Amino acid sequence: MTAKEEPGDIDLIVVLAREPGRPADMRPFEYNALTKTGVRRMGYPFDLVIVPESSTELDESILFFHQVRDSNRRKGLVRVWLR
Amino acid sequence: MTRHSDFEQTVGGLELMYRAVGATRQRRETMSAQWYATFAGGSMDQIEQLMGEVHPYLGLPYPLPRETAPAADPPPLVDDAARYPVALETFLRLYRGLGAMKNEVGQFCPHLYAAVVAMTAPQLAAVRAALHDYLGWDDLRRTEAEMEQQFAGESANGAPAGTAAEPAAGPSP
Repeated sequence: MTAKEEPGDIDLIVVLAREPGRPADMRPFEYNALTKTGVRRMGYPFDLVIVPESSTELDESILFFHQVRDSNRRKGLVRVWLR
Repeated sequence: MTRHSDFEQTVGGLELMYRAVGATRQRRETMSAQWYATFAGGSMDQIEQLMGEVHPYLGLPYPLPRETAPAADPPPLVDDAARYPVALETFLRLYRGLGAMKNEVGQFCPHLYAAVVAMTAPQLAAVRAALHDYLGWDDLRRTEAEMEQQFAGESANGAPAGTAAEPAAGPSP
Protein backbone atom coordinates (compact mmCIF):
# COMPACT_ATOMS: atom_id res chain seq x y z
CA MET A 1 0.00 0.00 0.00
CA THR A 2 2.91 2.31 -0.62
CA ALA A 3 3.08 5.19 -3.05
CA LYS A 4 6.86 4.98 -3.26
CA GLU A 5 8.40 4.09 -6.60
CA GLU A 6 10.99 1.95 -4.87
CA PRO A 7 9.43 0.59 -1.69
CA GLY A 8 11.86 -0.15 1.09
CA ASP A 9 10.05 -3.18 2.39
CA ILE A 10 7.87 -6.12 1.44
CA ASP A 11 4.50 -6.78 3.04
CA LEU A 12 3.82 -10.39 3.99
CA ILE A 13 0.64 -12.05 5.23
CA VAL A 14 1.83 -15.22 6.94
CA VAL A 15 -1.04 -17.71 7.15
CA LEU A 16 -0.64 -20.40 9.79
CA ALA A 17 -2.47 -23.63 9.10
CA ARG A 18 -2.64 -24.42 12.80
CA GLU A 19 -2.74 -22.14 15.80
CA PRO A 20 -0.19 -22.85 18.51
CA GLY A 21 -2.72 -23.47 21.25
CA ARG A 22 -2.43 -22.56 24.88
CA PRO A 23 -0.19 -22.47 26.88
CA ALA A 24 2.68 -22.68 24.39
CA ASP A 25 5.13 -19.80 24.51
CA MET A 26 7.15 -19.00 21.45
CA ARG A 27 10.38 -20.71 20.60
CA PRO A 28 13.30 -18.71 19.18
CA PHE A 29 12.90 -19.93 15.59
CA GLU A 30 9.20 -19.03 15.70
CA TYR A 31 9.97 -15.56 17.04
CA ASN A 32 12.62 -14.95 14.39
CA ALA A 33 10.32 -16.07 11.58
CA LEU A 34 7.01 -14.60 12.72
CA THR A 35 7.70 -11.20 14.26
CA LYS A 36 8.72 -8.06 12.47
CA THR A 37 11.47 -7.33 14.97
CA GLY A 38 12.89 -10.83 14.71
CA VAL A 39 12.73 -10.91 10.91
CA ARG A 40 14.27 -7.44 10.53
CA ARG A 41 17.06 -8.28 12.96
CA MET A 42 17.94 -11.12 10.62
CA GLY A 43 18.23 -8.68 7.73
CA TYR A 44 14.92 -9.12 5.90
CA PRO A 45 12.98 -5.90 5.15
CA PHE A 46 9.55 -7.46 5.69
CA ASP A 47 6.44 -6.11 7.34
CA LEU A 48 4.50 -9.08 8.67
CA VAL A 49 0.91 -9.79 9.53
CA ILE A 50 0.40 -13.23 11.07
CA VAL A 51 -3.07 -14.74 10.67
CA PRO A 52 -4.77 -18.12 11.08
CA GLU A 53 -6.15 -19.89 8.04
CA SER A 54 -9.83 -19.20 7.19
CA SER A 55 -10.09 -16.31 9.64
CA THR A 56 -11.49 -12.79 9.73
CA GLU A 57 -7.92 -11.54 10.12
CA LEU A 58 -6.93 -13.19 6.83
CA ASP A 59 -9.93 -11.71 4.98
CA GLU A 60 -9.28 -8.20 6.32
CA SER A 61 -5.55 -8.42 5.62
CA ILE A 62 -6.09 -9.50 2.02
CA LEU A 63 -8.47 -6.57 1.47
CA PHE A 64 -5.94 -4.24 3.11
CA PHE A 65 -2.92 -5.32 1.09
CA HIS A 66 -4.91 -5.42 -2.17
CA GLN A 67 -5.40 -1.65 -1.97
CA VAL A 68 -3.58 0.69 -4.36
CA ARG A 69 -2.92 4.15 -2.98
CA ASP A 70 -5.41 6.74 -4.26
CA SER A 71 -7.03 4.37 -6.70
CA ASN A 72 -9.99 2.03 -6.87
CA ARG A 73 -7.78 -0.55 -8.50
CA ARG A 74 -6.55 -3.56 -6.58
CA LYS A 75 -3.04 -4.92 -6.75
CA GLY A 76 -2.18 -8.56 -6.87
CA LEU A 77 -0.72 -10.66 -4.11
CA VAL A 78 1.62 -13.58 -4.59
CA ARG A 79 0.66 -16.77 -2.75
CA VAL A 80 3.48 -19.08 -1.69
CA TRP A 81 2.70 -22.44 -0.10
CA LEU A 82 5.24 -23.86 2.34
CA ARG A 83 4.76 -27.45 3.41
CA MET B 1 -0.94 12.75 2.34
CA THR B 2 -2.43 15.80 0.67
CA ARG B 3 -5.69 14.67 -0.90
CA HIS B 4 -9.05 13.88 0.65
CA SER B 5 -9.30 10.68 -1.39
CA ASP B 6 -6.00 9.50 0.14
CA PHE B 7 -7.39 10.28 3.57
CA GLU B 8 -10.59 8.31 2.96
CA GLN B 9 -8.66 5.33 1.72
CA THR B 10 -6.33 5.45 4.70
CA VAL B 11 -9.25 5.52 7.14
CA GLY B 12 -10.62 2.51 5.25
CA GLY B 13 -7.30 0.78 5.88
CA LEU B 14 -7.55 1.65 9.57
CA GLU B 15 -10.97 0.04 9.68
CA LEU B 16 -9.67 -3.19 8.14
CA MET B 17 -6.72 -3.44 10.51
CA TYR B 18 -8.77 -2.60 13.62
CA ARG B 19 -11.28 -5.29 12.60
CA ALA B 20 -8.42 -7.75 12.21
CA VAL B 21 -7.06 -6.99 15.71
CA GLY B 22 -10.59 -7.17 17.11
CA ALA B 23 -10.97 -10.68 15.65
CA THR B 24 -7.66 -11.70 17.21
CA ARG B 25 -8.86 -10.31 20.53
CA GLN B 26 -11.84 -12.68 20.42
CA ARG B 27 -9.42 -15.62 20.38
CA ARG B 28 -7.26 -14.15 23.15
CA GLU B 29 -8.10 -16.88 25.69
CA THR B 30 -7.01 -19.65 23.33
CA MET B 31 -3.35 -18.64 23.19
CA SER B 32 -0.44 -17.44 25.31
CA ALA B 33 0.38 -13.76 25.76
CA GLN B 34 3.36 -14.15 23.42
CA TRP B 35 1.30 -15.63 20.61
CA TYR B 36 -1.43 -13.05 21.11
CA ALA B 37 1.18 -10.30 20.76
CA THR B 38 2.53 -11.97 17.63
CA PHE B 39 -0.88 -12.30 15.97
CA ALA B 40 -1.96 -8.77 16.89
CA GLY B 41 1.39 -7.02 16.42
CA GLY B 42 1.42 -6.85 12.62
CA SER B 43 -1.98 -5.18 12.41
CA MET B 44 -1.04 -2.83 15.24
CA ASP B 45 2.09 -1.79 13.34
CA GLN B 46 -0.03 -1.02 10.27
CA ILE B 47 -2.49 0.96 12.39
CA GLU B 48 0.28 3.09 13.87
CA GLN B 49 1.75 3.69 10.43
CA LEU B 50 -1.62 4.81 9.06
CA MET B 51 -2.30 7.01 12.11
CA GLY B 52 1.05 8.65 11.48
CA GLU B 53 -0.26 9.71 8.06
CA VAL B 54 -3.81 10.66 9.06
CA HIS B 55 -3.00 12.87 12.04
CA PRO B 56 -0.67 15.35 10.30
CA TYR B 57 -3.20 15.62 7.46
CA LEU B 58 -5.96 16.52 9.91
CA GLY B 59 -3.75 18.73 12.06
CA LEU B 60 -4.02 16.39 15.05
CA PRO B 61 -1.04 15.64 17.30
CA TYR B 62 0.48 12.22 16.80
CA PRO B 63 0.34 10.27 18.91
CA LEU B 64 -2.71 11.65 20.64
CA PRO B 65 -1.91 12.23 24.30
CA ARG B 66 -3.73 9.72 26.50
CA GLU B 67 -4.56 12.38 29.08
CA THR B 68 -6.47 15.22 27.46
CA ALA B 69 -9.35 17.50 28.37
CA PRO B 70 -12.56 15.60 29.15
CA ALA B 71 -14.43 14.31 26.13
CA ALA B 72 -17.71 16.06 25.31
CA ASP B 73 -19.55 12.73 25.22
CA PRO B 74 -18.74 9.77 27.46
CA PRO B 75 -16.60 7.24 25.58
CA PRO B 76 -18.28 3.98 24.64
CA LEU B 77 -17.92 1.10 27.06
CA VAL B 78 -15.95 -1.66 25.35
CA ASP B 79 -15.99 -4.73 27.54
CA ASP B 80 -16.95 -7.45 25.08
CA ALA B 81 -16.73 -8.39 21.43
CA ALA B 82 -20.22 -7.10 20.65
CA ARG B 83 -19.41 -3.55 21.73
CA TYR B 84 -16.07 -3.35 19.94
CA PRO B 85 -17.53 -2.73 16.44
CA VAL B 86 -19.77 0.05 17.79
CA ALA B 87 -16.83 1.81 19.42
CA LEU B 88 -14.76 1.31 16.27
CA GLU B 89 -17.55 2.84 14.18
CA THR B 90 -17.63 5.83 16.54
CA PHE B 91 -13.86 6.19 16.25
CA LEU B 92 -13.87 6.08 12.45
CA ARG B 93 -16.80 8.48 12.18
CA LEU B 94 -14.87 11.02 14.24
CA TYR B 95 -11.97 10.76 11.80
CA ARG B 96 -14.24 10.87 8.76
CA GLY B 97 -16.16 13.81 10.22
CA LEU B 98 -12.96 15.78 10.72
CA GLY B 99 -11.78 14.82 7.24
CA ALA B 100 -15.01 16.04 5.70
CA MET B 101 -14.79 19.27 7.66
CA LYS B 102 -11.22 19.82 6.51
CA ASN B 103 -12.13 19.05 2.93
CA GLU B 104 -15.17 21.32 2.85
CA VAL B 105 -14.17 24.35 4.90
CA GLY B 106 -10.59 23.91 6.13
CA GLN B 107 -9.15 26.06 3.40
CA PHE B 108 -11.80 28.79 3.71
CA CYS B 109 -12.23 28.94 7.49
CA PRO B 110 -8.94 27.65 8.93
CA HIS B 111 -9.56 29.00 12.43
CA LEU B 112 -12.96 27.39 12.62
CA TYR B 113 -11.45 24.10 11.45
CA ALA B 114 -8.66 24.38 14.05
CA ALA B 115 -11.28 24.94 16.76
CA VAL B 116 -13.18 21.83 15.64
CA VAL B 117 -9.93 19.81 15.71
CA ALA B 118 -9.21 21.02 19.24
CA MET B 119 -12.72 20.08 20.36
CA THR B 120 -12.61 16.68 18.69
CA ALA B 121 -9.18 15.56 19.90
CA PRO B 122 -10.30 14.69 23.48
CA GLN B 123 -13.23 12.66 22.12
CA LEU B 124 -10.93 10.79 19.75
CA ALA B 125 -8.46 10.14 22.56
CA ALA B 126 -11.22 8.81 24.83
CA VAL B 127 -12.65 6.45 22.23
CA ARG B 128 -9.21 5.27 21.22
CA ALA B 129 -8.36 4.57 24.88
CA ALA B 130 -11.56 2.50 25.23
CA LEU B 131 -10.69 0.48 22.12
CA HIS B 132 -7.05 0.00 23.06
CA ASP B 133 -7.83 -0.95 26.65
CA TYR B 134 -10.16 -3.67 25.35
CA LEU B 135 -7.45 -4.94 23.00
CA GLY B 136 -4.81 -4.74 25.73
CA TRP B 137 -2.68 -2.56 23.45
CA ASP B 138 -0.12 -1.44 26.03
CA ASP B 139 0.27 -4.97 27.42
CA LEU B 140 0.79 -6.27 23.89
CA ARG B 141 3.56 -3.79 23.25
CA ARG B 142 5.14 -4.69 26.60
CA THR B 143 5.02 -8.38 25.71
CA GLU B 144 6.65 -7.64 22.36
CA ALA B 145 9.47 -5.75 24.09
CA GLU B 146 9.95 -8.61 26.57
CA MET B 147 10.06 -11.15 23.74
CA GLU B 148 12.68 -9.13 21.91
CA GLN B 149 14.74 -9.02 25.08
CA GLN B 150 14.28 -12.76 25.54
CA PHE B 151 15.10 -13.76 21.97
CA ALA B 152 17.55 -11.09 20.79
CA GLY B 153 20.54 -13.27 21.67
CA GLU B 154 19.23 -16.32 19.84
CA SER B 155 20.19 -17.34 16.32
CA ALA B 156 17.59 -18.40 13.76
CA ASN B 157 17.64 -22.03 14.82
CA GLY B 158 17.42 -21.28 18.49
CA ALA B 159 21.09 -21.64 19.38
CA PRO B 160 22.59 -18.75 21.39
CA ALA B 161 24.27 -16.20 19.10
CA GLY B 162 27.88 -16.97 18.23
CA THR B 163 27.62 -20.72 18.80
CA ALA B 164 27.32 -23.41 16.16
CA ALA B 165 24.30 -25.62 16.43
CA GLU B 166 25.50 -29.09 17.36
CA PRO B 167 23.75 -32.13 15.96
CA ALA B 168 21.89 -34.11 18.57
CA ALA B 169 23.98 -36.84 20.13
CA GLY B 170 23.17 -40.31 18.83
CA PRO B 171 22.71 -43.38 20.98
CA SER B 172 25.83 -44.77 22.64
CA PRO B 173 27.46 -47.59 20.68
